[in-house]
Amino acid sequence: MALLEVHGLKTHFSTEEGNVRAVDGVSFHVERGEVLGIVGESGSGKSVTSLSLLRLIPSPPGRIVAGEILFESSPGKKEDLVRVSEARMRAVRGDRIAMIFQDPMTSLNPYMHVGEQLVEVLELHKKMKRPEARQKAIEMLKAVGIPAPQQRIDDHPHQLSGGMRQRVMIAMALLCEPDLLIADEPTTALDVTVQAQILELIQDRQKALGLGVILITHDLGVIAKMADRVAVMYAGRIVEEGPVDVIFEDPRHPYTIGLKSSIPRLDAVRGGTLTPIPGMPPSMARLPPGCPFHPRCAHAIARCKEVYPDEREIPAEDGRHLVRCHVEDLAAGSVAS
Amino acid sequence: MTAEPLLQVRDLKVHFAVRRGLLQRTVGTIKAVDGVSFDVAKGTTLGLVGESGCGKSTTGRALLRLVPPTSGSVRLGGIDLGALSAGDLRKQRRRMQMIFQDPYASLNPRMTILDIVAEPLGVHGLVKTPRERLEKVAHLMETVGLEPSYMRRYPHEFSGGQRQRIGIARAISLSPELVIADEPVSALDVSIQAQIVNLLTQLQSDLGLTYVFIAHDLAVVRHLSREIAVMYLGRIVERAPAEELFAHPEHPYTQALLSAIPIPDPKIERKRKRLVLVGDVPSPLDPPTGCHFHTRCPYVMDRCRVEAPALVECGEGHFAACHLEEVPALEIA
Amino acid sequence: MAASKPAVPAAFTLEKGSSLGRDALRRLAKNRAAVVAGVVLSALVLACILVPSLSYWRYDQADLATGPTPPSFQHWMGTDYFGRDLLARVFFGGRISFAVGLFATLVSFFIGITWGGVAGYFGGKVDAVLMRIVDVLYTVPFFIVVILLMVFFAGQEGPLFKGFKSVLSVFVAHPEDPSYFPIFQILIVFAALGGISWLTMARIVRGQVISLREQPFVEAARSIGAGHAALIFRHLLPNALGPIIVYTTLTIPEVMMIEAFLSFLGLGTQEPLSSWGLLAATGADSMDLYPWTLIFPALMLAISLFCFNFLGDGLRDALDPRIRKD
Repeated sequence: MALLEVHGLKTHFSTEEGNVRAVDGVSFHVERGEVLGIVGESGSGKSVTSLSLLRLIPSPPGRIVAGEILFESSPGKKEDLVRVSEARMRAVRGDRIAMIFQDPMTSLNPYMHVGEQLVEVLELHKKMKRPEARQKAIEMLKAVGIPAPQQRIDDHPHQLSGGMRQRVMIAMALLCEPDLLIADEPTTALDVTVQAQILELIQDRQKALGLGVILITHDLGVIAKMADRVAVMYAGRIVEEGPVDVIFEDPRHPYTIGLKSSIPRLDAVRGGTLTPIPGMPPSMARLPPGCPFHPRCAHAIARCKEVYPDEREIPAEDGRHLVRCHVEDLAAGSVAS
Repeated sequence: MTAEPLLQVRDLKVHFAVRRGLLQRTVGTIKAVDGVSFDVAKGTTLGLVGESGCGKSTTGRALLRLVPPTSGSVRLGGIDLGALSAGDLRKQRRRMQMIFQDPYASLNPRMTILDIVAEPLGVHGLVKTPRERLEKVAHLMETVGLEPSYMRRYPHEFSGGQRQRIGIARAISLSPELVIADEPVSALDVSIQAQIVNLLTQLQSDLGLTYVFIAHDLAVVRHLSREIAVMYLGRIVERAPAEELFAHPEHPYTQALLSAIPIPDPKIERKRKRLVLVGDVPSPLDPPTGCHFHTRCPYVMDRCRVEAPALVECGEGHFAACHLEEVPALEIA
Repeated sequence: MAASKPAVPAAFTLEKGSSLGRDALRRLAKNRAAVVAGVVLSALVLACILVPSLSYWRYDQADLATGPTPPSFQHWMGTDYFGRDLLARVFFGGRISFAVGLFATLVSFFIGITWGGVAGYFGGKVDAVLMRIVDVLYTVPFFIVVILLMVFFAGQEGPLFKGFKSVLSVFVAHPEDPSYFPIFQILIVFAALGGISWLTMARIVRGQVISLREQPFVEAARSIGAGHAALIFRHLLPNALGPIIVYTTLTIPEVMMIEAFLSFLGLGTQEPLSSWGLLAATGADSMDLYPWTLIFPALMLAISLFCFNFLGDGLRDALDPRIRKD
């Protein structure tokens, strides 16, 4: 049974401009020891999805209006995180499911030194006594590659560099040896050489602990490096999903294809023009009818303006390849029945 | 005979004093830019890359004199900008403009698009009548791909990509010769970045612009640049024609940079050999002695700790600042 | 690229955008408490302007025979110790209270903006000197200064009044007329109150200017060659207005309160003029016998203060910078 199964998740926000359907029917699953990459741009709903998994959506104005999040917290025991009590959620957060965020400067308490924050996690979830917790924290800092952890543990976040702070976040996340790690744009705010280090660290820890990882990013390169499976999000829904090789070699959704051709690649032939996706991502408060991508889609047909496409499976080698698009053969332009 | 380059920078230094205490004593210096030299030929693009703290943004600002250089010279079309009076400098500003990184913060939220794009024209007295102003702005907006009828709207009514276009319209309004683009696409969504890069490319060929393109994303820079200079902690560590830099990087830092950039292709990613650096970028307040890079360099020697290497030619138009005779080759992919 | 001149849309066909100011007003309008407060306040101010002129009774019309009487058909708020109609006095007093609040705040507004703006814009030594002066002035105990001022320098024999009379002689025929003295005293109070509240305004403006001057749009303006004037008036100040407006709106009640307190001590407004503070002071003296003489002025003051605070809060919420949409 999958470690995490999400079915039909919908998270809506009531704002000045109306009801924003930030996540509008998202379903996916993550297995133990697997990295699922969720890729999308701003407004796609990827961050809201990750916050919904841990029920961290600020409640007004947002709320989870539908769906279930089935989490296997212990072998054979499944819980629906949408329905469990807040007390249970608090027990799960940090212990069974951990999260790391984009900006470690705002996710770490600037007034507490690093050690205190790590110890707090252990005291809370594992009921450890302070000296023991401190020792474990030092070990963890070492495991994430922080030099001289006995000294660093008493530093405040602003005394550390961006890369180090992110390592501290990772340490905090892994302290209780969770089953699932959600990483929301963990390297976007970092320099590229530091990014490489952090990604290696996440990969390394993931293999060592057999973690399931949900990696959220807008960077296709990061996805290519880290993910086993990929889900592409656009305007609140997953438009394509499949094993990473398949998604990169044989993308079937015009958005995925457009994304791939618009990115400059290090190894591409120089001087070719980039093929951008025309237009702009839609306003989430005023989504177009039918498939939200149709205004920007070169292959759009009449049906696309009316009906949101259902999931369609495409035969693939090592895993299921699903896409939401009416147009079956993009080259020939024929339509799915 | 080769034409004189439009921009000539020699030994540019920008140092900031760090002051503490009631009496504002100087306790240290941040050598943000520490001896940078390069030329940019007319109509071409120099890509200036590096990570945070390397001084590329400060260099860009120093070129425009938004930040006063501590020493060194900047010549625009042969004219030494440092030797000019305030009035003359103002005139020269017409020839060089900047595109800023943050599309949200680089436009005055209380001004309409019309006012924003027309401000440079007004400052330099280039429009005489309101009608002329409207026409010029409409023309500029069309050039950058914006609907002119939106000109009475305010910045917050536009998306990031559109705002960046507005910034570009403002920058080209004076018909400058040189445009410094400071991370113009970093804050934009990936699918929009390509639109803006294409626009910049087109403008360059249509208007004969010369760019200094500052970025941290080597893949984007590669696309536009004829020549690329890599900066680390205030110094240029390598400078080469774009293709040459990617094919044969001669400085370990450049190699690490190239190695760190993930390629959107899982099969290639799995096979790549990595040069992963140890440690973080040092603080510009307290840079390492000798070669600034020595603390993270996999090939560090004793000499590197003591002596800063000079930028020497190691190929045609290819310069690298490294004591190593021959840096081991690293395949990008 | 041969650019064909586009057909320029005639100005009236251009869509007008929605400025931040308009958005803010819209948001303010949705805030019920603020709207009610605004309406009540406007009504009060209007009443203070109109009532004393329209009222049957004059504010200084004494009637010792009647003496203090509770609210009745003839005197809606009753009369005070000297038989003067309290309603007229309360609304006349309102004129003074509002005037003091408004003008003293305006004084502090202009001094504060200039001082803080210059300090913030130029930075460096200019900033250091200007702000150290502010810091020193902060330590001066306000009430003691006002007391000293009023007792030693603002008497009828004092030098300030003499100076005032000589200035006045340019404008009026009889500067010796004793009724000018209360006006002089009020002006002293204005000056004292304005002189104290500009300090915080200067700090706020300086802070705003400092944070704004590093913004890219200001840098952009510099890069196109805009001069100091354009930078300050087109770019910095308009964007700094938000917190300044909020602070100003909240300064008015503060100043009114201080004036009331001074009048309570006998240092502010003097008889026969009235202000809410003065009325409350005299009313408090006899509150067990004639409670209405205290209740009405105190109520007016309290309502105004409430309204200003709600309005200020509403403005603060409405002017909060928009969360970015992207």
